[in-house]
Parts: sequence; C-alpha cells; structure tokens
Amino acid sequence: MKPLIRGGHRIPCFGGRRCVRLVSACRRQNLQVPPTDAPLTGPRLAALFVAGLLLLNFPLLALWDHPVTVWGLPLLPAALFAIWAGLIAVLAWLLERLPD
Amino acid sequence: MLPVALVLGASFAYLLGLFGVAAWAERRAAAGRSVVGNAWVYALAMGVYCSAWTYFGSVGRAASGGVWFLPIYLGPTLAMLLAWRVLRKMVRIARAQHITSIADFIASRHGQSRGLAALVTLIAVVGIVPYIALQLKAVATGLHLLTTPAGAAAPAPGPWWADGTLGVALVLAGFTMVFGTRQHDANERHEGLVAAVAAESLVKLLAFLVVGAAVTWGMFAGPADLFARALAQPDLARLLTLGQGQAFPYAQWLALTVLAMLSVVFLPRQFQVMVVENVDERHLKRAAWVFPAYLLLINLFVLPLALGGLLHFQGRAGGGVAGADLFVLSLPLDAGWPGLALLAFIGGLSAATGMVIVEAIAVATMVCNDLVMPLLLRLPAVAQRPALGGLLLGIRRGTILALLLLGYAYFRLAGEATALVSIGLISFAAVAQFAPAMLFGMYWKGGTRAGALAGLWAGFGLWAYALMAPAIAKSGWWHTGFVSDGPFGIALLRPEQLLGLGGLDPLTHALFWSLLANAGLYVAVSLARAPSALEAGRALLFVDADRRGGPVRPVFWRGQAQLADLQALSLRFLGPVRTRQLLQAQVAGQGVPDVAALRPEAALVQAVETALAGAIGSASARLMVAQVAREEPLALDDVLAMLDEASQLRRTSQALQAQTARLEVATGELRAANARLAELDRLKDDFMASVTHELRTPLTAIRTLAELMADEPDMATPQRQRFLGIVVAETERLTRLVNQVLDLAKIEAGHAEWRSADVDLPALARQAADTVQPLLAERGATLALDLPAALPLLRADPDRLLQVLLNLLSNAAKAVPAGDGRITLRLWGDAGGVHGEVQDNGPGVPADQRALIFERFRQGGSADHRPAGTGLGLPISRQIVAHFGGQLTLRPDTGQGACFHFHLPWTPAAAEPPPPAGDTA
Repeated sequence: MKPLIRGGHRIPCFGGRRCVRLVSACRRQNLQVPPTDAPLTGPRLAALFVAGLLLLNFPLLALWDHPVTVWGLPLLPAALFAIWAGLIAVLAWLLERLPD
Repeated sequence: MLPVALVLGASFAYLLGLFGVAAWAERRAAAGRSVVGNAWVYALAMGVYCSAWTYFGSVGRAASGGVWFLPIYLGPTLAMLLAWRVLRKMVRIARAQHITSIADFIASRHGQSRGLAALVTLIAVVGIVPYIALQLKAVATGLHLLTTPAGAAAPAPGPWWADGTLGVALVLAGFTMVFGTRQHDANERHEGLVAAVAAESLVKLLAFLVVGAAVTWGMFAGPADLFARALAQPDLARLLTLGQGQAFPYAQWLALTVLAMLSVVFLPRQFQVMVVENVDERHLKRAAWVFPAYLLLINLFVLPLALGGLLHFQGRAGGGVAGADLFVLSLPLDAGWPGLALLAFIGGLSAATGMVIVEAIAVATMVCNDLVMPLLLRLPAVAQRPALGGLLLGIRRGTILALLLLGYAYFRLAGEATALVSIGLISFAAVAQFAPAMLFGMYWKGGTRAGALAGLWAGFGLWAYALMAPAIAKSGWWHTGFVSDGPFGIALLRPEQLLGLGGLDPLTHALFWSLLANAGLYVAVSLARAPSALEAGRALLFVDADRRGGPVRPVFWRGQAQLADLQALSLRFLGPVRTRQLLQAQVAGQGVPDVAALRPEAALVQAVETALAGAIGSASARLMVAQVAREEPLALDDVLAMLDEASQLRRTSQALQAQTARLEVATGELRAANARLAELDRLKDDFMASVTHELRTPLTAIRTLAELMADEPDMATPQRQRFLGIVVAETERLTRLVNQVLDLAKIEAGHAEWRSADVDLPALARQAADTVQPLLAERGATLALDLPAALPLLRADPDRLLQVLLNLLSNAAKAVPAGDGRITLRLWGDAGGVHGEVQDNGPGVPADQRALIFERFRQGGSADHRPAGTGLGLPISRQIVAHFGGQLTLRPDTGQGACFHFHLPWTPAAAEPPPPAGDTA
C-alpha cells in the first residue's frame, strides 16, 4: 500500500472513504494529489474475476450439491445466490472507494 | 381472464407513459439539466439485458432445469468484474473516434473497412432476428393467455393478416420508429431513449418482484414452505440438485457462462446503452456493481415461481414444463388476482419493448451507416444531394420496420415449436462472434482487416451451419436427416457433431467450433501479412487509447484538401450548428483569428472525418472525405514517422509540464524567501530604531551636561564632579551597547574569539553574584545561591559564561518587583553535563512574548514600554550557550515568575552552529 504524503508527513492510506476524503481535500487546496492504492484496483478486479470463475464452475460447484436446507432454503441455489451476492459486494467495495 | 380492451388499453397507456418519460428527459436535456448524466440511470439502462426471455423464459428454464437459468446472469456478473478495465477502454475509444455501433467499432479498428462493417452488420441482423421473434412470441402468447378463458386450447395460427403477433410487431415497429428516430440530426446519443429504458427496467423489476412475493407469501406460506413442499416430491426435488440424477455437464455450464459474458457487452443493444450512450466514463464505477445487483434481484423469485407453478398446476392444464414460460402470468390469474396478472403482463411488455426498441435502433444505425449508406454514396445522384439528414432517418425507419417483420417471419417459421430460451441462445452465439475481433482489436496491434474478415466469416458460417440450420430443420421446415446423418450422409459433417466431436450439447458444440475458428483465423491470417499503414495507424489509436500520455494524438493522414469542401461536407451531414462548433474548436487549436483563416491541415481533416463518423459511420466517413480531398497514400514508414512525431510531441509536452511544475515550486520558494527577507528587513529597521534610541539617550545626557559645564565656567566643584560622574557612566553605557552590538555581530558571523579553560562553574556563579550585588541592592532584591559543593571542571570560556550568568541575573533583577525581589540561582550536575537555573518572582514572560525574547532583533515588552537594556543580552547568551553545545531555554510558565534554564554538556561535540532563532523557545 502506498502512503499518502501530506505536509511532509506520511499517512498510510489503504483506500476507502478516508482516503477519498484526503484526496479531495488535497484537490481543494490545490496540492499535488498523493498516490493512493488505486493502481491496485485493476489487479484486484482481475483476481476477483478469477475467483468468481473458479467458485462458479467445476469442481467447486459440486460442494453445494447436497440435499440439505439452510433456513428452509435448499443448499444449492442458496449457495449460488450467496456467492453471487458476495462477488457483487466485493466489486462494489473495490469500485466505490476509488477516488474520482 | 381479462377483457381484451382492458389489456390493450393498459398496454397503450403504458407505452404512452414511456413516451412521456422520453419527452420529459429530452426537455430536461435541452434545458441543460440532463437526467441521463447519472450512474444509477446508466446502470438501470443496462437492465435492458433482461428482455422477455428473462421475464418469462427464466421461469420456464428453471421449471425444466433447476439452477440452469443462472449462467445467463452469472456470466454478465463476471463480465462486469472486468468492466472497469475493458468496458472503460471501449468507452474511451468510442468517444475519441465517434463510434456509434459495434460494426463501426470493428471496421474502424481494422482500417475503416467497409466490407468488414457490412459483414458485422449482416451477422448482427441475422443473429438478432430470432431474438426479436422471441419478444414477439412472448408478448403474443402472454396476451392470448390473459384474454382467453382458462383451459381453452391454444387456437391454431390463423392467416397472417389476422394474427395478433403481427399486430404486436407492427405496433412495436411504429413505436420504435417514432422513438429512436425523432431527431432530424442523426447524432449518436438518445437521452430520451435511455431515460425510457431505465424506467422500463424499473417497471419490469418491480412487477416481477411483486408477482414473486405475492406467489411466495400469498399462495404459499413463504419460501420455506414452498421449498419444503417441492422437496417432498422426488421429481421436483431433483430440480434442486446439480445434475438431476445424471452427471453434471460442466462444459455446458461454462459455455453458457462465457456466452452470457460476451453477450452482455457485444449484443447490439448492450453496446448501445453501455458504450454509445455512456455520458461519463466514471459512471461505470457504480454501474459495474449496480447492474449485477439488478440481475440478482430480478432472479430472486425465479425458482419460487417455477416450483410454485409446478406445484400449483400439478396435473392441470397450463401446468407442467410446457406452461412454465407463462407461470408469471398464469399463477396470479389462477389465484384470482387479475390486477396482479395485468401488472405482470405490463412488466413483460416492458421487458420486450425495451429490448426491441434499443436493439432495433442499434441495428438500424448499423444497417444505415455500414450497409446502405456506403452503397448509396457511390451513386452520383445521392452523393450530390445537399442535405442527407432526412435520407438517413428514412433508411433507419425502413430498417426498423423490416427488422420487426423479419422477426415475425422467423416466429412463423421456427418460433412456434421452440422454447423462449433456446431461441435467445442462438442470438447470443451469433453476437459472441464479435468477441475475437473486438478484444484482439483492442489489445493487440497486429490484427488486420483480412484477419478480422476471415475470423468473422468462419465463425458466422459455423454458427449458421451448426446452430441455426439444425434449429430450423428441427422445427419441421427441413429434412432432419441433415442433422442426424450429415449432409449427403457424410457423418463427419453432422452439424451437431462436427468431425465426430461428440459428448457436447449442440450449443456448446457450436460455440466451441465457431469461436475456435473465429479466433484462430483472426490470429493466423493477421500474422500472414504485415498490416498496412492504415491498419497500423488505426491499431495504434485503439490499442493505446488507454495509455496515459499527453493530450497529443497522432494524425495518420496526408494530402491536400480545401477548407470550403470540408465545410460543405460537414454541413451536409451534421448541419450548421455542429459544423460551426466543430470548426470553432479547430480555430482555438490552430491559433488563428477566425474560421475563414483555418488551414486545411491533417488535424482538421481528421476532426471532420471523426465527426462525420458519428453520423454516417466510420467507413462512409472515410469514403466521403476521400472524395473531397486529394489524399496521398501512406506507407508504413510514414505511419511510424507520424507516430514518432506524436510521441515526440507528447514527450515535449510532458517535459514542458514537468518544467512548469518545477518553476511553480521554485516561484513558491522564492516568494517565501522574499517574504522572509522583507520580515528581516523590518526587524532590522526596528532594531536600528531601537539602537539609535538607546544611543541617543546617553548622548543627549552627555551633551546637555557638557554644555552646562561649558556655559558655566564657575560651576561649583561638587556639582561639576557629579555631572562628570554622570558623563562617565553614560559613556560606559554607550561603550557597553556598542560592544554588545559588535559582539553579537561577531558571534553570528563566526569571528568571535573563544578562550578555552577549565571552568569551576560554582566559583563563577559566586563571582557573578558579587558583581550584580550593587544592582540587587539598588532594587532591594535578594539573591539566593543553591550551589553544589563541587562540580567537575567544565572546558569552556569563563568570561563568556560569566557574561551569560550576569545577563540572566541582571535581567531577573530588572524584572522583580522593587523592594521585594527574590532571585534564586541554582546549579547542579548530572551524567550529561551541568544545569543552571535562574528563577525570579517577577511577573513572568507573557505568553505572546515567550517565542520572541530569544530573537535577535526583538526585545521583551511593547514598543512604547521597552525595559532597560539593549535587547541583545538574551540572544547573545543563547549563542554562547549554543557554542558550547548546550541550550538556553525559558522554562514553561508556572505563575511564579520567569525561570531561565541552561544546560551545558561536559564535552561539547565540536562547536555546533547556533540553532535558527525562535524554533525551540
């Protein structure tokens, strides 16, 4: 992770809302925008894609093929929807923390 | 059942409402308050992916295959994980090159080839027709189900003129024509369309969720109850497993996922809303996750509806897998909720119309720009018409009508027998053929026109042979022996087991062969021959579109053109307003006073061509510009030279930017230094004023006394003696002042002389106490000494240290209240060195002065109330202490007077430079 540099001090910036706020504060004060971990977003998304492809295909799919119910829902569709929702959540988290 | 009039009336009212939304959005856009410039609207517009196929077909698919409806939505989710990289690049390229369709994109990338644009258009039309048929079928059967009594047999298809499906097709065609081709300037964006599609996405999502919730909680006691009842029946429980009792075909699952991944970007309507209608690439950031979330929501109730329908209609008409495509309508209808059934139908209509409108507009743009216009423009009669806007619109409208009629024809031909989902997949497989040319074209500079043509022909041919032909044959229009035994009985050529490749379902099989041949030929043919200059130039513009560089873009054009010709060309296709905007932008770029003075150089020609591409497509634009300009053919060397030039320019501009940044930093530093100098100058002035004041006071006294004595020669001796005593004292004071100024100047300049001797600090302290005794007595103050019996000897200059002690003590003596002063001088030693402290019981140093008293040209007290002294004692003392490696500081205020503390190390680590003034006090 690259730290934000402001006023001669290094502030570790791991992205997220705080990082976005710092970056926009720097923009407002016409300071040089410090480096963030935004360059990592591309590789992270690629890794998430690979993870999604693996989770939703042979052979990991078979993990959920059991006649079991979770809170009354059959395991297979419940697991597929849960993986799906998880992918979307991580994607949203990765993209929304990017500064504009 | 519902009255026909009610259903038709509600449908028309809904379509009129959509018009209202579109008109409203366009009014807002004209007023400069666009509703489309918003990531949420953009994401909802992407929901046009969910057509009637999703709305009705997913339930049908789930009723026959369980979780098999999911890959069509998991694929897009995976694709959107890469959207931030891939789709954003596509948007950037399309924006820079004014690309309005996928055919334009592929053709523009591969040397602006008209043949390629035409081929892509052809594939899109042929591939999309079944998909449009699917929408018509869904709306027509839905309409029929709603308006006929339950249990009535489906009527035999009547003559074509009495067919409800034809009516649906014509109404949708009319609607689309008015909708997408309303503007007279055929520009690339349709704000009203996007707003209407976003509204439709919302309607179909809400309708589907409401129906799903009503069935789950109204007809059953919640999802747990529904699933429990389904699991109790072995044939339904089997739907909830992967393989349904057989080995799970993972290859098919993967193929469907990949197919959907490609389709979500390369379907003409998806390309239209995602790339062409994109307002701001930053919207992708939110849309990339909102769109998959939309897909998840709309699929939430698919399984409950499928299982619910199978349970509810068990053994009755309308039930079973055959009726499952319409469970969304038949379930609320059977439960006695006609209002809900109507809402469900409106949702399905919404899904179908949204898809048809956007798809037809996108394909019509392609047909017009990439198929018809290049042919028409060859005719002298057309090429010389003054304004072509009306002709463009006419072609587009005709295409839309033709497309919907083709869809209807396909529906009559093959649609009746096939489920919704299998029709849709045929279309998906067709548009997937665009993937190699698009993706290689965006990321590999070596792709050529010939490679793209070969790949697309092969992929399209195999798709038609292995997927389309069997589908038509199976619907009874052809001899099926062709499918089961191969053409002319050649088993190796069986369309669904090509070269004997078995074990795959027809879709996976066709997709594998067509994409393999497509990508393989693209690469192989591209590698067979070096790209031409034009191809290499276009490749650079596309592949490097993402690269962060300067604003400089290479211009790959050489020749001669006339400004009047270019202007006339632009006027014909773009109209006066956009022509003026275009030329004005160039005026700024060339730095000339007005439009008339523009030089028709390569950059201007390129700008006109790019703008034209937005209206008539890249290939036609190329043709038109070539007609008015005298072009010189480019060789590959020329392209490389132009690229060099551009990158040289980019480097220069980057260097310039860096230089500017450095200059700004330097300017800032200079400004700060200047401010500091001005401050120092002011301090110096203050100091000079203070010093001259101090000099003048004793001088005045001396002069006055001397004049008195001169005027009165017979002055009494005691009087004279007293006056002379004062003169001597004042002279001493003058000397002291001058000495101190010199002293400080010497120390600061490093010219001071330092003695080095072993100093007994307690003895020195006593000597200092004796020296200040008269002053203390005069002020009525007492001095207490707190000295250790013995301290190790310190290596330093005793005279200088005495000066420090005297200064601190006399300062204290001046500060304490008259008659009641108490001063303490403490000394102690530790491992590091010796410490000294002078504490008084005066008023202390005011907070705002604490930082100032050590400054060289400052003095404690306000300007009009200066304490006695020169204001140089403390700065000199601090310099002396610092010279011996120590520190002189003012202790934090405790409310009991001022306390100065100094510390001298036993062994000064060489003479250190004095610290800058004012940073430690």
